[in-house]
Amino acid sequence: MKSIGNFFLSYGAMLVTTIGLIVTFYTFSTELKSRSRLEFQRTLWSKQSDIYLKTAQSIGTICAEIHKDGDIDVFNKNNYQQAKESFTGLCYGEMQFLEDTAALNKMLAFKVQIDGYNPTISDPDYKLNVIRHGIAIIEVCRESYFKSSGEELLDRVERQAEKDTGVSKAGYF
Amino acid sequence: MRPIFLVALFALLSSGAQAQYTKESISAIVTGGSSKSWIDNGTSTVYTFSSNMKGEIKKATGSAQPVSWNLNTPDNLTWNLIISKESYELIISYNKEGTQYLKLVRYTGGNRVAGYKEIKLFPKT
Repeated sequence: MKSIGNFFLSYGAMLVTTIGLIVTFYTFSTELKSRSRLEFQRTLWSKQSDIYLKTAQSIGTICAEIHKDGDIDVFNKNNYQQAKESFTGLCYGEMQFLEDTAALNKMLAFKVQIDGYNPTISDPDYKLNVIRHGIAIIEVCRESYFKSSGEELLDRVERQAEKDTGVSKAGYF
Repeated sequence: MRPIFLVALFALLSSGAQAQYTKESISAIVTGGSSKSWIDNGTSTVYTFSSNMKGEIKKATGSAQPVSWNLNTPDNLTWNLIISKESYELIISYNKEGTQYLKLVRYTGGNRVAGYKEIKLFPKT
């Protein structure tokens, strides 16, 4: 009995320290993993936002040029071509990376519409149909953007910020 | 920047909101009012569509095959032309000379890039 007591007296402090170190290391490691995952999600979300914005800008330029009333002097071919090339690049490149099928399908449908588009035609149905296809993509991109940003990610970012700064959002008010 | 851009786009849309393809207007284009023939210059296949939703397809060789056709849309934006059992996405377009033509698009194997196939039908003169 006495020898057990002596053992704990001799090694107890060491044991407690070791357990403490293991628990601290485990907590740190879990925290690090969670933080890295969050950081990755945040970067992806930011990249996604850039791609959707670039897509919207290309579509905006294409639609704005198409909307010009069949007057070939007003239609800016350079603007249109540049925006079309940028849009096609996004279609086959960055949007494929995002794997957003809904947006990608709408983009490919729009691409079919603008391939061989003739700006000299003043048929309003023809023009408006292309513009509507363009706007449909922006709507899908916006939905996808909000879905992927989601409440969950925003909550996690806020919680992490609270942890980092020690100030809760409620504390500002 | 983004809100201004979106408002501008919606303004563009609303300024011409009354103009839009409908089943009737597309049918009128496809049939020319009663019956109209279109040719695929690549294969010399002639497609004829009549307003009674019947028609025929005549390949370069062989006799004409009777078909039925119809139009449908999932969203009043994309229009599908169904010829017998084959469904195509229908795009009304114009070539450089200003001639109206029909672009029929199909996607095989569920792939919109690799499986893309199109047929261009020009009015048969």
